[in-house]
Amino acid sequence: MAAGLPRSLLLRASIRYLVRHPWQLGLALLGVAIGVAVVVAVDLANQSASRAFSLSTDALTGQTTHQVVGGPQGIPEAWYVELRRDHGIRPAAPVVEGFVRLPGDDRRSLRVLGVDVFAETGVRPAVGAVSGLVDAGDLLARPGGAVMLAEDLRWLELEPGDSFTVSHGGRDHDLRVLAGLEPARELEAVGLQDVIIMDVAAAQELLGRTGHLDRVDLVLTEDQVATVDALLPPGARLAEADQRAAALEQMTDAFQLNLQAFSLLALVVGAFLIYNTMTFSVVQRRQLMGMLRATGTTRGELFRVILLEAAVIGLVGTMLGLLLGITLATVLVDLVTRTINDLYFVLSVRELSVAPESLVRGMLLGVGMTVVAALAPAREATAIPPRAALSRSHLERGRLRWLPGLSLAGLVLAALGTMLLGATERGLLAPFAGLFALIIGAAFLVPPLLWLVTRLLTPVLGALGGFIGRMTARGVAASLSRTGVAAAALMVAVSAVIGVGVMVDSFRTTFADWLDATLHADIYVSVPGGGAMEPEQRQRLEAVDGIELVTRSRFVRVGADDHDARLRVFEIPPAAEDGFSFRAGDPESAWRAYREDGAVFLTEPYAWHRELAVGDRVRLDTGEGPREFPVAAVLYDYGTSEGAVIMARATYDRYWDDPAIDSIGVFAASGVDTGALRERLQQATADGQHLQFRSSRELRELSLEIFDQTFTITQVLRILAILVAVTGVLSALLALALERAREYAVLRANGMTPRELGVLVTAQNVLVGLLSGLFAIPLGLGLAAALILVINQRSFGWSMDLAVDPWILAQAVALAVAAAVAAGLYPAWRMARTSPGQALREE
Amino acid sequence: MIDLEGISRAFLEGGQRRVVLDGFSEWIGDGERLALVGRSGVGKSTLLNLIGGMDLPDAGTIRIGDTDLTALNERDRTLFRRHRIGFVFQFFNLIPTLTVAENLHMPLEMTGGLDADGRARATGLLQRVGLADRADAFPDALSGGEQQRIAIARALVHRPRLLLADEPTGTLDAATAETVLELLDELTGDGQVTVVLVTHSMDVARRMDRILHLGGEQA
Repeated sequence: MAAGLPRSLLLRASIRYLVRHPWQLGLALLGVAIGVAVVVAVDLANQSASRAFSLSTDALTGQTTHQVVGGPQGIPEAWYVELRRDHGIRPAAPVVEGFVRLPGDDRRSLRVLGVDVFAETGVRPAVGAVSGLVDAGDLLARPGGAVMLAEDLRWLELEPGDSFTVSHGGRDHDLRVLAGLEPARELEAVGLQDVIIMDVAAAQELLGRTGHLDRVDLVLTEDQVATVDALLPPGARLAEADQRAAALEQMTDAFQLNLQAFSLLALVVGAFLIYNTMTFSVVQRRQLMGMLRATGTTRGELFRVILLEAAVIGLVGTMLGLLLGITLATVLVDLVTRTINDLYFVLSVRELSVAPESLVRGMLLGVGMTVVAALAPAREATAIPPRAALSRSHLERGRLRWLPGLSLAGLVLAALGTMLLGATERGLLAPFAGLFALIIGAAFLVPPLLWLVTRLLTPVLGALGGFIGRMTARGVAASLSRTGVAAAALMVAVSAVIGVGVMVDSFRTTFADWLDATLHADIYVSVPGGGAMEPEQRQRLEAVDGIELVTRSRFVRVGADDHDARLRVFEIPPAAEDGFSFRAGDPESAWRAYREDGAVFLTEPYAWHRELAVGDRVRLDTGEGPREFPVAAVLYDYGTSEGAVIMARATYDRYWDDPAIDSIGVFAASGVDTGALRERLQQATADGQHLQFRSSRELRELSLEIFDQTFTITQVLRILAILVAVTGVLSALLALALERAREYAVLRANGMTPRELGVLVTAQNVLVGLLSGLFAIPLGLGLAAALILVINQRSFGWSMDLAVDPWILAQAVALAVAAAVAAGLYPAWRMARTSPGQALREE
Repeated sequence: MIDLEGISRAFLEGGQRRVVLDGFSEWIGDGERLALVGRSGVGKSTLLNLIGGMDLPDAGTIRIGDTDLTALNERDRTLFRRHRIGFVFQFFNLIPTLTVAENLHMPLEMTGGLDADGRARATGLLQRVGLADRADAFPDALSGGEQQRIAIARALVHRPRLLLADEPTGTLDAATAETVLELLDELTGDGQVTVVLVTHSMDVARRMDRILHLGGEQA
C-alpha cells in the first residue's frame, strides 16, 4: 500500500487544515448550502405547485377525455339531457363550476363543483363516491347541501350538519355540510382540496346559472367525437380534456423557468465561492504537497485527493442545503402559489410535496458544482514541483500572465452572450444561455480590470493616504489570485441584485404609469369576488344624480381555437376613449374599426403568446358559432400575463346573448364632489346585491399592492442572492486576510500599529468591495435590460421601459462595501489581539 | 542602554503553563553587540520579542534608553519599535508581493522618511549589500543569502538605534552565512547601533562583543 500512505496522510492533513480554519470551512459549507437550498427550494415550490395543479386536474377531470365547454351563456341544461337521453352519449357528466369566498378571507377561494353524483361514477370516481356517503334525497332536496373533504372540514372547523356562509356575486349564501369525504386514494384527497361538491341544481342557484351548465365532461370513443361535435350548442366547443389542462399549466412555464434561472444564479455565485475556498486550501498547503510529491505521491493521486476533499465539502454543504431548501420551500411554495393565483389561475397548494427527484437534482448539482469548481485548484496542486514550495509572488506573477487571456475570454463570452440574447425571436433557452454567458464573461473581466484600476489608483491613494494608501492599492493588485475571485463573485451577485432590482422597479414604474393612463373614471363599481351585477342594482346606480357618463365592462371566457380566451367587453362613450395605450395600430383608425367594423383589440401578452398582429384575425366561438374578428390594435396591458381580447359591447351583443355587466366606471359630472357622489351611489344600492366601490386612487393602490405581492418571490430570491454573495465575499476576503497573517505580523514587527493594520485590512477590503460594486453597475444594468427587453418580454409578453433609480445602484454598491468591510473585521480584531511575536511564531 | 529587570514570561501550551523566563535580568550597553545563545526553548526568541516590544513580560521591566517599554501601551510600543528598532528574522520575512526596493522603502514610508534623502540612503544600502541591480525583483527571485541581505538593509534603512536579529544565518549555508555576517559587521560595527542577536552557532556568537548563555554560564 505504498501509494495509500501519502493519500491518507494528505487526507488527514486536509481534514486538520479545515478543522483548524473553522471560519473558512463554515463559510464554504454555508455558501454551498445556501446555493443548493435556493435551487432546491425553488424546485420544490415549483414542483409542489405543478403537482397540486396536476392532482387537482386529475381529480376534477377524472377519466374525462373530452369536455364540451360553454361560452359566456354556458350550455343549456336541456342540451345535456338530449345528449344523454336521445343520443346515448355516456358517460357524460354535467358540471357547474365557480369560486366562492369565505367572509373575512379575501385571499382564499373555494371551488364549487356542481355535479350530478349519479353521472359521476364513470367520469370522476372520487366525486362519484359522494353517492355512497350521502343520501341522494338529501343532496337533491337541500338547496345548500355541500360535501367537502373531511380534512377541509377540520381545517374550517366544521362538522356534518353545520351551516356556513360563503359569498358569491355580491350575495351571501348559507350552505349546509352533508358529509366529509375521505377518498380512498391520498392523491385524490390532495386534488379535491378546497373543493365544495354540490348537486348541480344547488350550484346553479348559488352561482346564478340556473338552467345552464358550464361544461359537460365526457368519456368519448373516437367515433363519438364527430357525433358530439355536430351536436354542439351555439357558443360551445368540444375540447380534449388533457390539452385544455396542459394549455392552462403551460401558462406558468415561463414563470417557473424564470424562478429556476434565478435560483441557478445563486448556485453560480456559490460555485465562485467553492472555487475560492478550494484554491486557498490548496495554496496554503503547497509546502506539504511539495513534500508529498517528493516522497512519491503522483500527480494523479494528489488530484484525486483534492477532488475528494471538494466532494466531501460539497456533500456536507449539499446535505445542509437540502434541509435548508426544504425549510425555505415551505415559504416559497406559498409565494409561488400566490403569484400563480395573481397572474394565472386559482390554485390551492396547502402543503409542500418533497419530490425525491428534486432532492437528487439538488444533490447532483451541489456536489457536481463543487467538484467542477475544484478542478482548477486541483490542477494547481498537481503543478507544485516536488520539494519546492510554490511561492506566492511566483503564483501571483503566473496569474498576471493569465490576464490578457482572461480579458479576451471575457470579451468573447460577453459578446457571445449578447449575441445569444438577440439571436432568436422566441423561446427562452437561448436568452438564458446568453445571460449566463454574459455573466461569466463579465466575471472573467473582473481580475484584469481590478489589476488595471488598482495600478492606476496607487499614486492617487498614496497621495491621499500615504503609506497605507499605497499599500492598500498594491495589496489588492498583488494578491490578484485571491482578490480577483472574491471581486468577481461579489460583482456577479451585486449585478444580479441590481439587475433584478432595476427590472422590478422598471416594471412597477411601467405598471403604475399604465394604471394612471387606464384608470380614468372617478369611481369603479363591481361585485366583490367578481361576477355579474344584478340589473336592478345597475339601474339604480346609473340613475344617481351627478354622473356625467359611465363605462360598462363585462369579463368572460370564450373558446378561441385551442384555448379559452379572456374576453373583455367594454362599452365606452367616445369621451372616455383615452384609457387605452396603443402598442401597435393607428389609434384613430383602430377605434373606428373597433366601433364600426366589429374589430377587436388584443392586449400585448395575448398578441405575443398567440403570435398575432394588427391585420390578423382572431377566431372566437360566439353564440352564433365560430367567427373571425379582425385585430385593429395591440394595447399595452399589464392586467394578466395570459392576455385578453378586447371587444366593443355592440360587437359582443351582436354575437352573444349575454346582457350582463360586471363593473361600471363612473365619471362625475363637472363640479360634482366624487366623495359625495360615491356616498349617493352606495346609498342607492344599499339593499340587495353587495357592491364594492373604489376610487381610481384606491384601485391604483390596490393594484400596486397586488403587484408587490406578486413580486415578493423575486425579492426573496434577490435577498438570497445577496446572502450567497455576502457569504462568498466574507469567505474570500477572510481567507485572504488569514493567509496574509505572517505578512501582517512582519508589518507589525516593523512598527505598524494594530489600528493602522486594521485600517489597511479594511481599506483593502473596501477597495475590493467598492470596485466590485462599481463593476457590477454596467453588468447589472445589462442584466436588467436583458430581463426587461428579452426575458420578461418573451416570458410574459409585457414590454416595459427601463427605469433606473440611482438609489438601487447606490444601495447595491453600499451592500458590496458593507460585505467587504464586514469581512475585514475579524482579521483586524485578531491581529490587534495577537502580538506580532506570537503571530510570527504561529505561522 | 537596555536594562532588563526581573523579566518573567510563561506560555500556555496544551493547557499546561510553561515558564520560559523567570526573573531574568540583564544590562546591555549602548553600541554593544550581544549574542544570545542557549539550547532550543530556553527563551532566546522570547527575550528578543520582549526587547522588541512585540510581546510583554508577565513580570519585570524593560527599559531602552529612557523609555520603559513595559509601561507603554500597544500603540506607543509599536511606534517606538517603528522608529527605534530594526528586525532581522531567520526566515527573512520580506513581503513577497513587494519588490526588493519596495520592501526596503517600507520602514521609511512608515516613519515618514521616504524623501529624496531616504531614497538615496535606500539605494546606497542596496549598493552596499551588493544588490542594486535587483531593486525591481520580487523576493522569491533571490537566493536565501540575498534575501537576508535585503532583510538586513531593510532593518537598518531608517537608522534604528537597536537591531534585533533572530538566527539571521540559521537557514543559510556556511559561505552565504559568512557573507551575511560580514555585511552585518560592516553595517553595525561602528558602535552606532546596539545589536542583540540570537544564534545557535558559537562561530556566529563569537563575532559579537559579548555572549550571553541563556539557561547557562556567561562568556
